[in-house]
Amino acid sequence: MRSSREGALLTVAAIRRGKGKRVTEVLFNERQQIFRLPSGKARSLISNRLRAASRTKSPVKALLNPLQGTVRQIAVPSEAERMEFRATRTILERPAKSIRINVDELDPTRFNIVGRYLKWPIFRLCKRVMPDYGTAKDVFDFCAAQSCALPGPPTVSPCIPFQYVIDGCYARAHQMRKIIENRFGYCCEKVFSFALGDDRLAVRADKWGGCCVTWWYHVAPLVRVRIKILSVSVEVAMVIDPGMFNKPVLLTTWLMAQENASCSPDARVTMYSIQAGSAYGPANGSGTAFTTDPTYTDTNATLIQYSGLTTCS
Amino acid sequence: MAENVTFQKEMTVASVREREGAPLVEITFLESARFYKLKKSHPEFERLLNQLRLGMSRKTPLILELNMMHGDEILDVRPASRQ
Repeated sequence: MRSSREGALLTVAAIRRGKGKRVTEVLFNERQQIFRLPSGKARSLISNRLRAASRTKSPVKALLNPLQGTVRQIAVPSEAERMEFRATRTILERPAKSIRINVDELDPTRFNIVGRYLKWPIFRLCKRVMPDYGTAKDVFDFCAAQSCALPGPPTVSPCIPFQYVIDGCYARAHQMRKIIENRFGYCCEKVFSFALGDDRLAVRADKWGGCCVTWWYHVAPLVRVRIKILSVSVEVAMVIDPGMFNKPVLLTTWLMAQENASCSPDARVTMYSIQAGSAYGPANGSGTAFTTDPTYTDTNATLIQYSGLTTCS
Repeated sequence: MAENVTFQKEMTVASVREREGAPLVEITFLESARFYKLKKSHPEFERLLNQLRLGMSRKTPLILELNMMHGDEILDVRPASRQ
């Protein structure tokens, strides 16, 4: 039998109030159930703590009543509890080595060919590659259709804020990875690009008003696509990045787009790496270790937080 | 007194980028792909820069106060453990 008191360290996915409704609902990333704020004196303290935690993406120590669907109490976790919570966000085991590159010198006719030129160990772990470009385009179009900028509810929730490319690539990539693997059943790795030292990744956000955006790293889902050149079948590495493009692009195209010199004189990709699809974001400033988000907790929180933002305002 | 928590974020410093002659220092965080800035004209520039450097060396998260919701200008920094 379910208890009327349940305590846990949780992160806030959303605090919402329906149009014309008096009840405030609280959604936690770690719970399917929707909770209501209690009435009475505790309400405003609980509400303030939840809103603060939502903004800072920090966990809260929640005491819930699952039977009534109410939040009984919210407390700030101790430092030890926070550390323990963070420790559960595991680091990607045995990440592949990041490689320094000079994008100017890349030969697109060779670089993108998997197995012959792109020999990343992670490719050996999954063999369900996309059979043709048409499949990659279908996957791209499905992901793009989940955009928060489009009217109507997305097929997969939460929607993906492709219209806000200033930040959040890690969450967009992880949500797309879930779609590619679970809905379409294909292998999906992640490609990370890094700008270290004085370098910066610089792109022109042509899809969202044409302003320049700079990052210290970028990430997107990488898929392998079988193509035929005359009678020879080869696998090429393509990137699904609807924030930047209108169709799947070759890995070299994706990398080159991040060196837009008209946006920054320091536009340069220092290094790149291809990791397992479970990699989420960098775990250090040198791009050699990666976090994971197996429960999609941070992914969902970020997607929701950025859903209403725009790039070039 | 009600605490103003409107524009706060908890993040871990990935790098501190200082350039000679530049009017600001750029900070990157593990939890974000974008660049954040700390203006040298900030009255507490040195203290904030030290906090950021300390956070980076200790690899501990910091609470940042930003100029606006989803803004990129750092106005204040304090250790995440101090609630």
